[in-house]
Amino acid sequence: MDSESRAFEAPVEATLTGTPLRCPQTMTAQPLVPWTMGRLLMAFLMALISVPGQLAPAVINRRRA
Amino acid sequence: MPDIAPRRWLYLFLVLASTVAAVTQMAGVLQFDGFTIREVGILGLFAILFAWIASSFWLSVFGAWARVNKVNLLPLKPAHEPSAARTAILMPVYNEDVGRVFSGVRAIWESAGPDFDFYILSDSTNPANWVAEELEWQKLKHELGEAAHIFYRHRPRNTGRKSGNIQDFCENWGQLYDYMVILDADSLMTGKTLTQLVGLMDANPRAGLIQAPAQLVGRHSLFARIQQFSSSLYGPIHTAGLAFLQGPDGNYWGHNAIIRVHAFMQHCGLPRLPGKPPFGGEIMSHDFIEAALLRRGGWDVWMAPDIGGSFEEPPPTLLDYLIRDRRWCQGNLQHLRIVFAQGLALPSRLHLAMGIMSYVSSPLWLLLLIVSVVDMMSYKAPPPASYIGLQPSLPFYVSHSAELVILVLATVVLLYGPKLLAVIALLESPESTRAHGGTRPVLMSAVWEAIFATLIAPIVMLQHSWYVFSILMGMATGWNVQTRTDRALPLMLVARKFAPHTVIGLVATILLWRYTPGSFNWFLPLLAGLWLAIPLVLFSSSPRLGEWMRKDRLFLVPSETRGSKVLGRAHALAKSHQAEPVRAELVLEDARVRDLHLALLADTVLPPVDPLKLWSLRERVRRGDTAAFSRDDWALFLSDPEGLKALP
Repeated sequence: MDSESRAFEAPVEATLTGTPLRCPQTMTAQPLVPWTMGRLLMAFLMALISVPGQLAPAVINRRRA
Repeated sequence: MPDIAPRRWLYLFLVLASTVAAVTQMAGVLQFDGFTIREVGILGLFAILFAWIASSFWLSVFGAWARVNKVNLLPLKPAHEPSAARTAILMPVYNEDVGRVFSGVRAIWESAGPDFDFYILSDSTNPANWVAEELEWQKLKHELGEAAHIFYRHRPRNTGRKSGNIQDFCENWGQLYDYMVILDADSLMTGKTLTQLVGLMDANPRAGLIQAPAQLVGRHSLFARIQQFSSSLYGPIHTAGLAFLQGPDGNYWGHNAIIRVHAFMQHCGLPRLPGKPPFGGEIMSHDFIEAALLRRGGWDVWMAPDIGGSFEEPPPTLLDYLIRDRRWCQGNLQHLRIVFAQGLALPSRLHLAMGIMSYVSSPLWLLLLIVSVVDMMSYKAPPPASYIGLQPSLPFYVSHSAELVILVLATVVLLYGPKLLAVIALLESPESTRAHGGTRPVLMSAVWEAIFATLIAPIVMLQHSWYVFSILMGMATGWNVQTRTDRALPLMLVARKFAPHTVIGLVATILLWRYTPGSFNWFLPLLAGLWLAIPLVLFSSSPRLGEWMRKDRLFLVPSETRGSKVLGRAHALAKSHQAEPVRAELVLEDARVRDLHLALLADTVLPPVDPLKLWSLRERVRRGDTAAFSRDDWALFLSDPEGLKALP
């Protein structure tokens, strides 16, 4: 058998390894949460609440100035 | 970097404008006696499908324009210095032809040199393949010497399929590398291309992935040679159009791409979708999702349409092509659950939607045809007037032939226009024309390709429609090994697989001839493909016919006329690899094979197994009773270091 004979023209190394040493680090599964009507509505409501909240300090500062 | 927003707006405008024009024309035809619900349905389907082919047409027009005007399609900083980055080249394999895999690896290594580390990441479940891969790896290491960093890893369980295989690499060795190049079992890339890709990644630290579009090469059957020619002729304007419009919002096609490892590790861990396959479970078509996740993470995804030196092989027959499409169809339909995922960039959603539409368009075409025919069949001509003069409204026939001819012509232009543009773009370059065999062979081949594509289109439409229907019904497919070698298909197999298409064609012919004889001729191109399904698939699978066409200078591609060093080397190595098939029993019979296997097994993280089952297998091996070992039995025993060490 060709592969077999050619593979062993040199002896198998005593410390033969197929790969370098492992450096483990896990990959975290990423969220793939789809938009639903409920989530869209919630995001819209959050924007309605948070955007004026973010703008308010700027408006107050401008009035003070 | 040029602002790509104006191009995108222009593209959107052109697609919408042509669709609106066609739909208006169609509405004019349908509304002469008021709209029925069926006609509204026809109009809706027509609008969707016309927009779909218009988007493809305008993409090609943009691509041809970019080519003719020599637009820089990869506006990245060029690399100047030799790279100090570490790059791993990954070859995931799953029960592939071992000789071919290792011939490819060796050819790429010889072209790329020792600066790259190679990983053969085996997920093979066939024990004979597993043992053969180990032997080939040992042989390759011995022949290439110490300079070659070629690693081999076998996973006992192929969790997550190809994406799980790559993830396993990243989680164990990813931190050792800056970049990884993903290959497929039939992929080849030149050293020059690999070095260029590394340089581009070095010089452009925001680039997370660069896709090097692969040219289809290396097969000899008529079907494959037509695919190769078609991809070589039409691919450049298609990829140019994509690159021109997508910019850094590109896509990933699963292989022949370089990826920044830490970006991938940070953003591309794939979740299991809730529920069962086909829509739940592991994400099958992971590549589009990984590109979308990289974009979501703020990394650029580019396509390098002109980089060259990137190759893959097409399926050898239409049957193999359709088998592969079953898996791709399921993978793309699964994206229905992801296309509206939060945080994805709009172009990423468009990539996903276009992938879905490339399969869903088939049942939509079929539905449009069926509804149109039913509408024609149910049309009742108004009764002749029995008297005139006092009749308040006289019935009269209105011919819509002119509008219909315009619509058909528009559709023909959209379908065949890109092919014509590609031929013109090719003939503009004398060098490219010569590489495809010369002007006359290019024109002849393009005509024959168009005829062949037209004839197989209804076969593919029916098959895709069945795939979509079966997937929607909850039928999932597995992960089968792809056929990658030329083979003339046996008549009985083809007859069995394509008899339904022929029967559908014949039944449709009878119905159309009987009920809509006036419109019969319009359906001829569709029906002809179905009548000829069996001979088309049979003859196009023939390597002899493919060779005959090659001698006649038809469907020639640059890799055949000019050759390619890496391709030639890989094919020569594969040809010279005439080893007898390796059996799993070799591990029992040959102590050296067993030692090698055990040494490699020491690196493997083994899953827990049923000790009783293992004990039973050890006993059977001890008695020499392995004749009835199943594939799973062998896989289990080969994963048992204790049992193997105990062998005499």
